Amino acid sequence: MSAGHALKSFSWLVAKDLAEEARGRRVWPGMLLLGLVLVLLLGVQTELPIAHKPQVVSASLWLAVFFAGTLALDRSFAGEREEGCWRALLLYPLPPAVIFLAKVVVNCLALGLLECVLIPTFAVVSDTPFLRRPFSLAMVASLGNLGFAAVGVLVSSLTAGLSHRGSLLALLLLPLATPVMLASAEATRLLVLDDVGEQWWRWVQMLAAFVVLFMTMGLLVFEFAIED
Amino acid sequence: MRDHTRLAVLVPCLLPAAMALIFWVAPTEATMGEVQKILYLHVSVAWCGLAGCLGMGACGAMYLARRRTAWDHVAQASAEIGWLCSTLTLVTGSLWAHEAWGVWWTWEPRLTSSFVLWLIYAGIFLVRAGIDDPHRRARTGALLSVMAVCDVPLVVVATRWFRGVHPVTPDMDPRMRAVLLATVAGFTGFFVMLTLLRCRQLRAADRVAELEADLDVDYGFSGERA
Repeated sequence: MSAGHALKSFSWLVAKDLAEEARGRRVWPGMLLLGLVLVLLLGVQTELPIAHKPQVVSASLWLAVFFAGTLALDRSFAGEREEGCWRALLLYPLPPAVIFLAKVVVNCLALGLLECVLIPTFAVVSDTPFLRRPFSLAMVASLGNLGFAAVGVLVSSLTAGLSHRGSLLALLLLPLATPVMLASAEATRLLVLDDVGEQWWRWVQMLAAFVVLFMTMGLLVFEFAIED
Repeated sequence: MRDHTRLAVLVPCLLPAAMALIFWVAPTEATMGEVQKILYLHVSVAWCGLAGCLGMGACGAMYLARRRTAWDHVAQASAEIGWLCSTLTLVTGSLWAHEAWGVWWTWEPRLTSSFVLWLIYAGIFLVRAGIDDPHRRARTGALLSVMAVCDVPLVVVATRWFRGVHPVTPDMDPRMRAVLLATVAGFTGFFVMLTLLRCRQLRAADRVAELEADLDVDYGFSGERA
């Protein structure tokens, strides 16, 4: 298969998932609402001394993002199976890696949208300056989304056909994504403290290392995950 | 005599020997006293917990490459014994922490990453238990095992990278170091023996399930595999 055909198929797959969500609005509104509920619940608990606030609030923000994000990941493959598209998708002459990348990109967009809503809301309700360094925060968020989506798409493809997939996805995904969550939360805490030094850079490097690891693993083993 | 039978004879001698070394040869530590001796057990089971995860990942990868059920048996056995060792690591670590730090548990990087490893093991068992088709169960377990290996480097480097309070290769009396190495060797033998015995049990369960299917009867042994 030529690179041009793979690229075109990739863009079609992304467009298909986005069009499906735009028409049906089945996942993203629920994900945004769950994120807001979590922000509200966590926000009312952040009446803390100023010194402790950045750590607690940064970790809570990422917990809310990733927890709500599991809704989008859960539907990535379950929707395809329920609508009977899965068989057709597998029959299409396409490398599994392209399907994996398309699913990762769609989930990254979902997480990005979620963050666009949650970060300003959390900044307001917890009175924390998240947007002190917006470009650095965008870089941390993009890496975090990519790492979480990569491991999430893999786990979601494995649990999609199981009867109790929702609980299993969260149960497996959150421990496996711990390094990504930890590095994102710590890098965000240092951004809130305006401490963009060597330590911040180390957390970003760790985040990038896990993104590379999860993406490589996903590209290599996804074909085994979608066997039926 | 087959390998695992030899091990089954050898290992019961190794473990009491390791215990004797801990209590009679290793010197008592000046600050913590006798309680420090839990370190020998803790390090040994922690090593076996990590080795179980590595073994599970390696056998999972081999299953994906070769599709032989024997690799799935080793991966499952390795995971089960690794999870048991991981549980013992958390318990012995908690006992040690209570004496050394005054708390049963603290969110220290090494402790947290070890707990995450324990959760990953538990999650894999839950997923495996939820799948009836043996090939799908083996493939899903293999993929999750390969992914679980990512947590091992995190457990190993957690204290150095995140500057936790967990001790990192402290200076030890040469006799303490020798006893520690002997205990680790004894527990590694025990780990290998249990893994081989569990593999044999899984093979037997598979064989019984095949016979049940051939004879169209159900004696209830096939549930052993999940």
